[in-house]
Amino acid sequence: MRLLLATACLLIATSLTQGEPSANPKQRAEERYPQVFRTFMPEAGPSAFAVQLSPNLGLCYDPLRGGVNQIWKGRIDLTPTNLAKINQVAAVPETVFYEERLVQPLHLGAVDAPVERRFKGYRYEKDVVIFEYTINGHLISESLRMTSDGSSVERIFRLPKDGGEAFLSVESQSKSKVSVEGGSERSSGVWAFPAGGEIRMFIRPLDVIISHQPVKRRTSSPLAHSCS
Amino acid sequence: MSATSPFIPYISLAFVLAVLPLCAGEDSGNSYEIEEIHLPRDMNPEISGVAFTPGGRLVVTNRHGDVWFTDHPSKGPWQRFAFGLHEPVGILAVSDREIYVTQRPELTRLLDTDGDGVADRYETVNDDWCMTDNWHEFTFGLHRDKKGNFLLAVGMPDMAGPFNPRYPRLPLSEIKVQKEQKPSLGSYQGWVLSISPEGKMIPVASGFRQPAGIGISPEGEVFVTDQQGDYIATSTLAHIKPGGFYGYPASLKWREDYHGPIPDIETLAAMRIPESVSLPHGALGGSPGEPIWDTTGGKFGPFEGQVFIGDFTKLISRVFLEKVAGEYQGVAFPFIRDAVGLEAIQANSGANNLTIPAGKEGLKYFRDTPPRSGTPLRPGNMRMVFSPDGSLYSGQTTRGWGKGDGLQRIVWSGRDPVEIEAIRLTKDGFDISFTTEMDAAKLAAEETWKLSRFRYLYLPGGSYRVDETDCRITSIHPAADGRMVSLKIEALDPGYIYEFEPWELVSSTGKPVENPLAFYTLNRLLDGRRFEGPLTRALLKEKPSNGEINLTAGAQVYSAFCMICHQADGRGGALPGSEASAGSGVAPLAAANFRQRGPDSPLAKSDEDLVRIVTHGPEGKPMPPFGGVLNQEQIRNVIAYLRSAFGKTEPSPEQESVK
Repeated sequence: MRLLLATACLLIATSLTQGEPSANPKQRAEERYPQVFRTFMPEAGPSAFAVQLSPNLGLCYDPLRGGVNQIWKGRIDLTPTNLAKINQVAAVPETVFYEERLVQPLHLGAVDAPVERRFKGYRYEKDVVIFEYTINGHLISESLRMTSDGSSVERIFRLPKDGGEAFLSVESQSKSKVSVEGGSERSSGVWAFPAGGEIRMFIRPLDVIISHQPVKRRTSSPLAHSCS
Repeated sequence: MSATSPFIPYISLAFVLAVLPLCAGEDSGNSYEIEEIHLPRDMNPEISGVAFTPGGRLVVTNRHGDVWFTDHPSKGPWQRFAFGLHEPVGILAVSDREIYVTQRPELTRLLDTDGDGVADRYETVNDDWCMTDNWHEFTFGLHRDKKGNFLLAVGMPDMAGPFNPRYPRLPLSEIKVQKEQKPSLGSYQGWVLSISPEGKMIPVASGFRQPAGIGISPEGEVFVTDQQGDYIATSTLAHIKPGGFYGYPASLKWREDYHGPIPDIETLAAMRIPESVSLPHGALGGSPGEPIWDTTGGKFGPFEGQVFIGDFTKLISRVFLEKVAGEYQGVAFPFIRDAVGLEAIQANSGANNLTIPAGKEGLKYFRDTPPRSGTPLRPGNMRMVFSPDGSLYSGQTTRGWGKGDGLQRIVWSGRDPVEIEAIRLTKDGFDISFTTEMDAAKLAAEETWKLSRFRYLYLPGGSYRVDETDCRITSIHPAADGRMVSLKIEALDPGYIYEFEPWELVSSTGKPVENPLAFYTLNRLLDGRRFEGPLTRALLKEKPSNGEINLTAGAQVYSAFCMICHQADGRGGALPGSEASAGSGVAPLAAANFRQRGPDSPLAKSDEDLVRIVTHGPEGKPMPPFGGVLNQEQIRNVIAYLRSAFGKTEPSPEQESVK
């Protein structure tokens, strides 16, 4: 009986002190965009990236095919891949305004040079995510961000000095305007860039401007499902 | 936001001080207590990796790809360090600012370069293995050897789910080496890999089916657990040797000396390195996770140097390893398990039914073991780590196979457990030591020592126990201090698993042994002799079936193996885990409804068809084959039970009215 009473008192005391501890906002770093999620993406290599550049602008970055597979307005849904036992691909919004399908659109040295592409990782800097990879052993960084006016996606490739001239195939788009800077168009859709230079690419939807929402502090990812 | 009164700690302290005297002098409670680690609401609780930094910070990762840490596990707060990883299943914390994870596609280094507590660099350390988009390709880890090399293992795809051959990370090959159900689609699926600190990958060993746990002993030896199924008759703990082949043929095609399919099972059997310790399916779980060594210096009780292995079921096992004739072998015990028995299984319906025994010979362990008092152990114990204070943390994920995810901590209460401490091989039997003084009379009594042996075969369909016989004990010599007994065995042969069941044994104070069950894997005798007989056929004839159907036995099989998916009422429905995707647009996987009627219904099939389906698994559906789990008599019994319980035609309302 004494033990029962003691146990009951201890349980009460414990329950009063425990509650449901959640993260202390003061100790949480500011969560900001871009946000990168490696997952199963439709029509992409395994373990591609869902990148939300803002709450209303996202893209699929495919390190295997080599580039941005789609850009959409809105927010990706990771529920199918996060919850199912036999994972499904993430659900991309129907508002896709940019698509790439060409395998390995970036070549070094010659327009038809073989490409051995190896993914090296990514890093976050202010308002931008920078992917790194090698092509034939030469390091390339590719930054992705939403332009400050919220109208476009900006891709900047930083090319190696020792990789020779770079060639990028740019596919025509029906729902977006693509502009390329830093090189010259050698033939239809094929651009050349000097070694050590930059490729600057801007992709803007033709119909509506992407609503630009200020980045705000959050306590959890908008893409992660609620775990309450 | 929780509204917590600042006075509550003082009120709580008052409660504790008030009740302490009431507890004084009570000699009760468990030797080990389980404590819940409360996780923040916005953390997915499917914990798939757990580690401590050298400074004592707890770090976990989860299925959704987050990494979180806390300096105070019992009260928080927690902080998210990284996110967006692809199903990480292993974590290693080098410092507060440098953490490594194995995620599906790669070994990744997470760096917090600016010291704000959040990783800003996700560096690919290595990804030199093939990968498809199949759901079942997990990359298991993560530990580091004394040279700083990372050790990880790559699992097999599962064809219950699709893969897209258009987008593999090469090379890709669907050709089978033999009859394996899980193909090694790409290099190096089914391998243990080593990755140097500079990021260079070296394939170490092949032949794994689902090597979900990798560990390194205090001596620096690498061990891996593998999960039972085809070829791998029961789950294992294997000592890894470079170049070794451990039994699952699919991965052989990525060896440099591979020249094509190997149709002869005997050829594979001769190549195979046996496991150090077998974890008999059913008795010791079904899907082992990470092996970890007790190096706490006694903070976790009397098992210093022993191995602890969490399991997907509600079980943590304990293993004592010894080197015999130059090779590791040893004994496995249950350590902490939830209630065992038919009653417990039936009480946990549907997806919560992860209470063992399940699997081969599981029915043998249907004796009802009373549940632990206090907090029960959850399932999904795939990742564990000892904390600096000597407690054992278990990260739990059922990952859609069931329910029950989270983080628990197992603490030694300071009370001596009544357990078998170890079993050591002698030249003519076994020395059995105990953690405390045992009852002298019981220790010396012949009836205390129920000892039998059996072995498993190496076959494409898996194997249940064969050559099972009781062992005759020729002498029993208890030590004077009551803490050891030497048993001499009439026929001590290598190649068998010796099962000890001292159910009646008690301590000198009358307390029963907490886990009176042990399995010694005898690969070698002290003089080095090994099993020379066939690995692919039994030596003893199986007891012939009398051909009679036993509906009660069929009902037991149904409860143990079928009910988790097909439900107690036989109506099936969404499989465990898949119902969580309801509303997501993803069709849940469903188990067959035995109550369905019509020409396409499950029970409209002939007995022969149903035997084939149960034995080999239905084509294109997630139900696993049970041919290596149940014998033909058990399958016939369960089919008869299905027809008896669910197959009777219920009269329609029209028929009722005609009557």
